[in-house]
Amino acid sequence: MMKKQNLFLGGILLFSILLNGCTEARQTNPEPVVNEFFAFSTLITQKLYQENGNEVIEQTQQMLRDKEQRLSLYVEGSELDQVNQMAGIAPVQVSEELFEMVSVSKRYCELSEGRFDITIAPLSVLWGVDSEHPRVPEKEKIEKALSLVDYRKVELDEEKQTIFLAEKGMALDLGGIAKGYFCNDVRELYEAAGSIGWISIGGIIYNHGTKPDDSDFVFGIRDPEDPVGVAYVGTLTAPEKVISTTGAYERYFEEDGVIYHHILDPKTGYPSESDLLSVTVICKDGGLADYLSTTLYIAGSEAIENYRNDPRFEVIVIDKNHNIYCSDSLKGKFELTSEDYQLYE
Amino acid sequence: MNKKSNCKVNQLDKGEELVESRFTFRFRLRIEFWLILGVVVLCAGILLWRGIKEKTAPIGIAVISYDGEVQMRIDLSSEQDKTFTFEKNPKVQFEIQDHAIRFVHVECPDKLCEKSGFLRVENQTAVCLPNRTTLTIQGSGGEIDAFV
Ligand SMILES: [Zn+2]
Repeated sequence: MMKKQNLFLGGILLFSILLNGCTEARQTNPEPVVNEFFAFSTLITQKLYQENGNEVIEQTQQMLRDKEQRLSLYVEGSELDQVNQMAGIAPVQVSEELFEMVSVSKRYCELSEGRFDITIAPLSVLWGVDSEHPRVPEKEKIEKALSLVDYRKVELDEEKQTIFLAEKGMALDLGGIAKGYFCNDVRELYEAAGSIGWISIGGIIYNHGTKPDDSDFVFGIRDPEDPVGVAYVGTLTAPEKVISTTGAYERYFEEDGVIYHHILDPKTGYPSESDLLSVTVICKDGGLADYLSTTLYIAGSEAIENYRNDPRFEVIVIDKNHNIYCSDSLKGKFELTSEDYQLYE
Repeated sequence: MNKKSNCKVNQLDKGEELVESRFTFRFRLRIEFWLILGVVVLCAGILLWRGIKEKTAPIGIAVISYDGEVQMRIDLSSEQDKTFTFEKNPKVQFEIQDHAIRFVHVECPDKLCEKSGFLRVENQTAVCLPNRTTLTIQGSGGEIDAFV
C-alpha cells in the first residue's frame, strides 16, 4: 500500500513539474507597464518591461513635459517663444540646451540646402499643421509667411549663447527635429535605469534592450497606402536605435475635396509634392533620424540613391510604384511581409 | 517433522508471497503505465491547447484611454456587437463588430481616428488626437511590438 501511495505521489509530482514547465514561459514574463500622455501636440507612449517601470515612465514623462514648457513654439512665454517674440528686436540669451538644439538644426538646414528649415514657424502656424483645425490659407498670406522663412537669418553667438532672428515676424519651430532629438535624452534616462522597452513620441520610436525572452523588439513599418492605417509593409528590428518615419498619411485634412497633408515644403509654402509614399530613417542619433526622414521625403526619389548606403544611418524608402529601397545593411533586419510591395534591388 | 512442516509452510508462504508480489508487480506496472500515459497525454494536450491559443491569438483586450487614463477594458473575444461611448468624453464613440473595434461617429475635425478602421490584432493602436483618446489592443504575445 505504501508503495502504491508513493507511486501516486510521484506521479502527481511529475505531473506538476511537467505542468509547471508548460506554463513557465508565462510566469517569467513580467507584465509590461504601459503609459500614454499627450505633449508636443502628439501622443507619447512608453512600454517598459521592468520592476520599477512606473518610476522610469514617470521620470520620462516629467522630463518631456518640462521640455515642452521650455521649447515649444506653442507655449506662451517658453524660452523659444521669447526668442520668437524678440525677432527683429534683439538677441536673446538662452539655455545651453536650446542653443545646442538650434545650432544642430541650423547645420541641418545648411546640409539640406533649405529643404529643412527651422524658421518655418510662420508657415506652420498659418496652415495650423499642429492644431486641431488645419486649414488652407489664402495665397497672399502664404507668400508673406514664405518671405519670413530663411534659416540664414538665424544669428547664433556661441560666446554669449544668444539667438537672434534678424527679421521681425520670423519665428523658430523645432517641430521637425524635437521628437527625435528628445529620444536621445530618453536614451540616457533608460540607460541609467537599465530599462527594457520602447518609447514612441508621435510615431518616432526609440527602443532599448531586448524582450524578456531575449529577442529584439519588432516594429511594423506602416503601409502608407492602406486605407485602414493598421496594415504594415514589413517588420524591422533596430536595437538601441531611433526609428523615424515620415509619410503624408500621418496627418492630413480635406478641404473642398482636396487632401492636404502636414509636411510643408519650406521652398513652396505648400504641402510637399513628393513622389514618395514614406521614408524611414534608422539611426543612433534621434535628431538626425527625425530631420532626415522629413528631408528625404521632401527631396524625393531622385535624392535617395545618395543616402541609401550611408554608414551613419539606414533607410527604408517606399515610392509611389510600391518599390521599397533599403540600405544593404538592413538585410536580415527588415523583412518584407506585404505582397503589395516589392524590394528594389 | 515440525521443522519440515515449518519449512514447508515457509516455502509455501514464500511461494504465495512470490505469486502475490508477481501479481502486484504486474498490477503496479499497469498503474504506472496508465499514470505516465495520463501525464503525457495531459501535458501534450496543454501544449497543444496553448499552441492553438497562441496561433489564433488575435482576439485581445481593447483598452480605451482618455488623456492617458485607462477608461475601459473590453474582452473582444466575448463582447457582443454594439456601439457605445464612455463617460468622460461622449464625443467619441466606438463600435464592436465581429470581435474587432473601431472609432465611429467621432466629433473631431480630422476624422483620422475613424480612418484607422477596425482593430483586432495585438498592439494595434488608433488615436484621436483632438479628443486625446486612444484605442489599443493590449497584448504581449503579438508578433509586432509597435508600429511606425
Ligand atoms: Zn478623431
